[in-house]
Amino acid sequence: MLVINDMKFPLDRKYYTKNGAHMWLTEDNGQIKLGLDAFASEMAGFLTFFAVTSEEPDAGEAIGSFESAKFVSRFYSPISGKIVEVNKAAMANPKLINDDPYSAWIVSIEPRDISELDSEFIIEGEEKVSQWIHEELRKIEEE
Amino acid sequence: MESPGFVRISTAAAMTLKLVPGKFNRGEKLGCLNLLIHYDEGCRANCSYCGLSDTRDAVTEDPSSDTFIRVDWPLVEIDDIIRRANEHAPHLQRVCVSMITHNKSFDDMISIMKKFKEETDLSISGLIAPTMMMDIDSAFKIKKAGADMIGVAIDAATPELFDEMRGSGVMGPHSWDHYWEVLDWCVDVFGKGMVGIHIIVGLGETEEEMISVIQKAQDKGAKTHLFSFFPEGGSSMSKWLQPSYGRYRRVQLARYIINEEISDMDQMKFDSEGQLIDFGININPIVNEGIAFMTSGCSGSDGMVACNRPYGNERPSNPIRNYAFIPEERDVKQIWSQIFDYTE
Repeated sequence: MLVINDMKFPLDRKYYTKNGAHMWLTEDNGQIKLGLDAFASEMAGFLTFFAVTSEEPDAGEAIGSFESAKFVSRFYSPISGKIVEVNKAAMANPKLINDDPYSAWIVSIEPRDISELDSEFIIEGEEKVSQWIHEELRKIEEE
Repeated sequence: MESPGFVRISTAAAMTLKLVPGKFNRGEKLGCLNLLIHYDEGCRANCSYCGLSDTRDAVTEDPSSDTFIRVDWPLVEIDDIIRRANEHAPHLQRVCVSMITHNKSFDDMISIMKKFKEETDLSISGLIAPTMMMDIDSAFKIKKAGADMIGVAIDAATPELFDEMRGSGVMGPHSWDHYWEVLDWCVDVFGKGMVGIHIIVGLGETEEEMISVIQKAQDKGAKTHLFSFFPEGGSSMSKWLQPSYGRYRRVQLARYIINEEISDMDQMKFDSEGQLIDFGININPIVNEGIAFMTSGCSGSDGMVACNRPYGNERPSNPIRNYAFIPEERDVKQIWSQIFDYTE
């Protein structure tokens, strides 16, 4: 487990970084489970709403949005495929994502081409994730 | 955990003081800490649109029923707020202490103001509850405590709406005439331009009635701080709609023209339904500048609005009603598309 500024980043999964996305992804029985990471949860604040607006996204496409009292953003799919399940519990109570972003997944996707996971925007491992998060924090400080 | 030791603070203030996570959608910086006096008994008034109403449905499954002006207001110890304001928020310029209708509220507001005066460099505003103020000495006491600006939340634009929503219509204690009398006391004590009325657009008034009350306040030496009605879950007006963007933009622009003394209401024309159809001056440069559509509120030392209330009246996924920053080109383009839209 990587911890930076009290934000946890489990190292048993990958992270999608394109377009400022802060999504984690895991593979499970041929399906890809997606969620927001602790950085996205911390930036948004207590989530009040999220919606999934796409059914069969292409890689890099926005598949929905999440919102808090003062912040709104999109979330993106790292892979092309079909959304086969949405976490209805998290949709009904988005604060579950704040409470534990790595349990409260958002969608499950059946990928069209699993080789798309070999992308420069999908990272894993302590060194790469740490470097990425520190760079993101630096950008925030410069704002 | 009650005032004066504790107060409620807005979500924006809690974020700014790093009490809760979150950042503002477009990188806005909060200019004013908004504090709300708190007692377990609550507010003694019944204003029909208000999240603090004594009669608001407290037992509901609607999670938005715990909100006030759209968001949560966590309860925080005053000493913690002051320590965090001094440590974390150099961009803060002002603190506003808001009374509620409760017999302890005035004295506790005074003691909180004194504490901020002694322990911070922030300018101080008081958002007063006139029903709890009986004479002009009250205004002198607020000034002596360290406040330099005052807000009077009249909220409803006409005496009829005021009485219906805040007075006899809801078995409430408030009186239109007394509110304006207290406003006069405050202008006498604090000076012209140092007092503002809060008015909520969308409580059933026409644009002409709204602009008339803005002009009335201006003639008395008070500015207007505009709010857009937001239906509070659990309140008796929870099913009402927000005012249209067209209506809100026209009122914002008229307010700016009147408060900046560019022109006055006499030059404006209204249709038979009270909609503003002609501002009487060339509005192009004013709209393009964008400042008219920024949040209106108490100012900071730079003369710009300190009380900028980011996303105070709308969800961040909706078009902004009160800009907490000077609108950018894309914002001005959107404002132009809204301002002459007369559909409700």
